[in-house]
Amino acid sequence: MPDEISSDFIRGYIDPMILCVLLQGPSYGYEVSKRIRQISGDLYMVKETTLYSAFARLEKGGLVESFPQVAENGKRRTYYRITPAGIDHYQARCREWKLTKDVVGRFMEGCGA
Amino acid sequence: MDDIRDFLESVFSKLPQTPEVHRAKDELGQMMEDKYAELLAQGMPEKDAAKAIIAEFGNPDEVLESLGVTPQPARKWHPGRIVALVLGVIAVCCVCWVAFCGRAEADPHAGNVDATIAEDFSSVDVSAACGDVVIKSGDVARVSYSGAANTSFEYEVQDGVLHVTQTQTSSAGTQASDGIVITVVVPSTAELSSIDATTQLGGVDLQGVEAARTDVSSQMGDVDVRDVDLSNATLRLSVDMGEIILDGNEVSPGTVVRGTGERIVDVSAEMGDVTVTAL
Repeated sequence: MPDEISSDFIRGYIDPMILCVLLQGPSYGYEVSKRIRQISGDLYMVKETTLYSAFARLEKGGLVESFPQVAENGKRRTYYRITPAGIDHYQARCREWKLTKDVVGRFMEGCGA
Repeated sequence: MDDIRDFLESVFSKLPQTPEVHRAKDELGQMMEDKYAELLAQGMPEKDAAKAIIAEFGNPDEVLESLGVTPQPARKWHPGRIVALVLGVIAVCCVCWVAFCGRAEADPHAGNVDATIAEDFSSVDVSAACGDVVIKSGDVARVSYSGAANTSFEYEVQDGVLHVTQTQTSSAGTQASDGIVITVVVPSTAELSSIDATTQLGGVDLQGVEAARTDVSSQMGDVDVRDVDLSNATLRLSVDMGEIILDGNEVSPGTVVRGTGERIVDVSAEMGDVTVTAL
């Protein structure tokens, strides 16, 4: 079996991943999923349902807010932008990740060193 | 895009109809539309693009959980519902009995059929009103029918699709389905793009036959799918009133999605059990 990212694991980080994309500017569903794929170097593609669930969760938690936009061709899209609370949350998750990387790394990179 | 819309409709029709769920459907539709447009712009044929998008859709239960809705369990058995069901079953039995006893004219189309199919086909479409549908693999394509009076049975290959249709012709109420079996044998060498099989009254039994897209369902009866390779398939199982048994284990009823493969396997029963056993 080829090496693959554990989907259970990545699901725990999808929220800050989306916040990271939104830090670069407000965006909408498919564009966010494209950015995630790009940033991951094609190693991870988020499914529509996972992405939508994350948006709903983030909005419920006040970390993003949605607003409607109509494109030039008339297509209606739901856009999301990060909120100040979202920025704080993202920074907290970044600190948590550094700590996680440090601790787990002691076991996974040169076992017990 | 119609395939995608139909797919979304079918997934969402089984979920509780709240404003949040409608919003989810709307936005998921937006995402899928954008993705579809991009795949087409990259030169992918429409059918392939639709297939790819449907296969990568994911699990609708995840959406419900994030909205704080517990995925809908099988309908609860209120006493009133049980009484209604029992009365309904008694009524159906009475009508069936009358129909059986009361059959007057012999239907010229009824009777047994056991035919070899000479033309090649890449799709199978079976539609039955009352009777069991069995689809299995074999050396040569065949269609057989052990029927009853007051039913009609037709089959033909048209544009690469094997159509098999069984209906009841008697107007004297619902025909009982005992002993009525429609069997389709698909050559083991065939590569099918789709299998559709549905019966209103009776079971569906799919044994060891695979297609890029499979959709088997029954309104009143059990649906069995066995000896299929599910390692590269997205399996969607759904029961309204019955059990789901996957590889010998009972799974929570309602709608269950397993796997994210390219091949789509949809199995549903309104009033009956769904049993799936992989290869």
